Amino acid sequence: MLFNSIDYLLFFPIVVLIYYLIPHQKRWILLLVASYYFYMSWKAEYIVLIIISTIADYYLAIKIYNEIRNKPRKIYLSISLIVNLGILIGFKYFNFISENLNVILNGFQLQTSIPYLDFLLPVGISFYTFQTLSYTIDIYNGKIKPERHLGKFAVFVSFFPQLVAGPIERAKQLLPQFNNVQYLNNENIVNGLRRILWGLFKKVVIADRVAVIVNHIYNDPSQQNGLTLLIASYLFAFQIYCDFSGYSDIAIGSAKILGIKLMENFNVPYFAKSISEFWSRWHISLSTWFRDYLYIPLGGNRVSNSKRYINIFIVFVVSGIWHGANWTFVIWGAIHGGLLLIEKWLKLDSRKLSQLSGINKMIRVVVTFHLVVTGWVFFRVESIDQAVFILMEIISLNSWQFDIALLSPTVGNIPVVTIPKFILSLFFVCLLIIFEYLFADRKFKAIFFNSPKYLRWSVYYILILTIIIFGNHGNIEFIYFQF
Amino acid sequence: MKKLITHLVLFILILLLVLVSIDNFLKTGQKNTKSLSGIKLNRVLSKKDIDPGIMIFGSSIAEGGIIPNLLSEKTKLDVFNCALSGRRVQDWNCLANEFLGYSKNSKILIFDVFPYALNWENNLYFPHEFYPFLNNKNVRNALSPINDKFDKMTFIPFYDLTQLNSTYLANAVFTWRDFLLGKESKDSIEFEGYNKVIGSNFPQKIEDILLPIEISEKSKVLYEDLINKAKNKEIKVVFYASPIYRENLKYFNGFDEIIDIVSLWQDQFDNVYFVDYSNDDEFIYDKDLFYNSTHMNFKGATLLTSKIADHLISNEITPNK
Repeated sequence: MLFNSIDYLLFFPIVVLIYYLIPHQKRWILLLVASYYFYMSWKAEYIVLIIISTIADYYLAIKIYNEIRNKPRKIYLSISLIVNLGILIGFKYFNFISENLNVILNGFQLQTSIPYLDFLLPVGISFYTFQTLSYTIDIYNGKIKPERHLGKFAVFVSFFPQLVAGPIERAKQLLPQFNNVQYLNNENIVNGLRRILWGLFKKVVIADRVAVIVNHIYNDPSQQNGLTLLIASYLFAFQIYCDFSGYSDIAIGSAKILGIKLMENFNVPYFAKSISEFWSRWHISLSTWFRDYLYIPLGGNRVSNSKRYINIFIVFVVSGIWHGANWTFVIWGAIHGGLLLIEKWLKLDSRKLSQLSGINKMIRVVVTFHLVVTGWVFFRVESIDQAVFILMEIISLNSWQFDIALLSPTVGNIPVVTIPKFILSLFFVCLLIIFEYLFADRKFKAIFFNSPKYLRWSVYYILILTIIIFGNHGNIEFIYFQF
Repeated sequence: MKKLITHLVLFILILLLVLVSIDNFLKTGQKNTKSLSGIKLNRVLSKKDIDPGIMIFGSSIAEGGIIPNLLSEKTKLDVFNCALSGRRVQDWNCLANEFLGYSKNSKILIFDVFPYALNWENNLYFPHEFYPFLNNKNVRNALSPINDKFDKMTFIPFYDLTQLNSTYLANAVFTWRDFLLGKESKDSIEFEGYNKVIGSNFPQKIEDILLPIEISEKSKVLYEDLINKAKNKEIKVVFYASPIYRENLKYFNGFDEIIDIVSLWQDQFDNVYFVDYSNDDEFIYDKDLFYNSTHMNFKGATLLTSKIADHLISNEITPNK
């Protein structure tokens, strides 16, 4: 069930209606049933994995908490890690590992080969396993107490707005909210609906429109030239941002309507003035997860500079691996890790950058954006060779030429992208940049939200009509579902 | 809470009003558009005032290939050319079904046969032309199996607004503009539906525009269904294979199979007649008669229409007067 589908349009209001009609003590049942139904609409059998993860971590967390001795606590934590990471590695990385091991074995002329498993990747597996892992690790570190109510814990693991693509929540923030009494609240409903509207605009109008162009070009880069590949790379940067942040907006908005606060996951990342700042604005729930559960346990900032740099690099490579079972993701992570190390080495820390203004700030933003786009090329392609080819074509200016035919796939001899559609897509991207720039300013935000109702409603109506009329309603999945 | 619910309800009501207005603006505009196909759809699906003795259905092959007033002159029957450019039976069967539902005068249906007649696409060429008629049962039945977005259009309100295109918008705007300016409609009872093309326009590289020839069971079933419905109303169905320019016949491998299928229908159904001009020497070597490899121009259509008329009369397919 996609957020931008008719199914969700029917499902969610029904859930909200029942939610506020039933006693709050029973709401966890509704949320659990709704969440399981939401997940099972993808592939019913895979609910077993969530249930295994839920039951394992529920009991292990209690055991960890009740156990005083260190060794058994470590064993219980290890079991939790094995169960969760085992499911994740088994479904997501087994074939990648076996493929690479087979290459090595063939290199040694060994006849044996490791078989491939024919499993569909469970949607959201990287997200919910990390969420439950953070729970058991926090219990182990004494940061929180275990949730004794299995049902509410199960809701924490499977809460439908954020189940399949985050934000990756912390138990400390999310679990207590299932115990709080949520009343029908004007502010929650209105803010939630606004957030959903904006998320749908980003996903349906921008991400899914540019996806048509990007997919066409990246599916066969050899038929393109440097300029069209550059355009597609820029567009992909906005596609992935609008797709992922749009999902997060809808998730946050949906939860808000239910009176549940989820963490912010994006903060206008393409306005970042450095890679370091970019990662404080992009997929915040994941970057903070890696900071708290990998970087800090590796030593964090408390070690020597050289060790710190190694740790940073490791974290970003692992982050790359988290995104997908392909060397291109590893390279993507390594690029970001490398860029971050260069910034550290050049001492481009945030204090200096925050003092930048005017043209200097603009230059930093543009440079950072282009560095990020370079990384996105590796993120998008199927192989490293393809990424290198694309970057080389972009750099070789001789081959640049603009021909709409290169951008335009056809279906039954009917062009799918025409010049007006391409220009319209660019227009919406520009609109996004302007809106995000304006609404990043608290003063402007306050002016808008305090403006007369007819003005605000006009904007909402225009957004809704834009989504309906100009959106791509081809049911294109969210990019981060594949993670 | 009362204020919240009031505001929500008001917001939704205004939104519905806006959507209904836009939807009706577009649908009314498209319905009354002056395009050939728009007029035909409106006359058959909405006004239902077309009921000639001979009704022609099919694609641009028939739309530009049969001249109604010439056929009428020879056969002494009213003729209307309801063929739609760019369409196959998956699209136009709704018109034929609608016509068969209300017709009292029809004696003969003419269907064109061409290399892509039995292809099945999971999309429509000009889907917006059907949007004003989504309430029509035959239109819904025709659209549903093609693509799930058309299926959704048949039961989700305003879903057609998510499938807009610039032609739909332009048609609506121009129709309303002409209405407000008091311009006369092109549609009149004398309008016969023929698409007159003069001269030739053979493509430089025919390979660039070729499609694979398919024989879809779904398309066959639609034809057979129409044949049976026509039979129940004692209406004869005449299939004609349009001439194909000889030099380019080699690009249409597989057309023989379609000819065989139609020939089989002629044997199976006693109300079906088939005449094959695809290899007729009188046409296929003369480029001047063709607009392109498979379409006749006005000169070719004049000759073809005469031959069809002669065939109908000589084989006593037309009723005796």
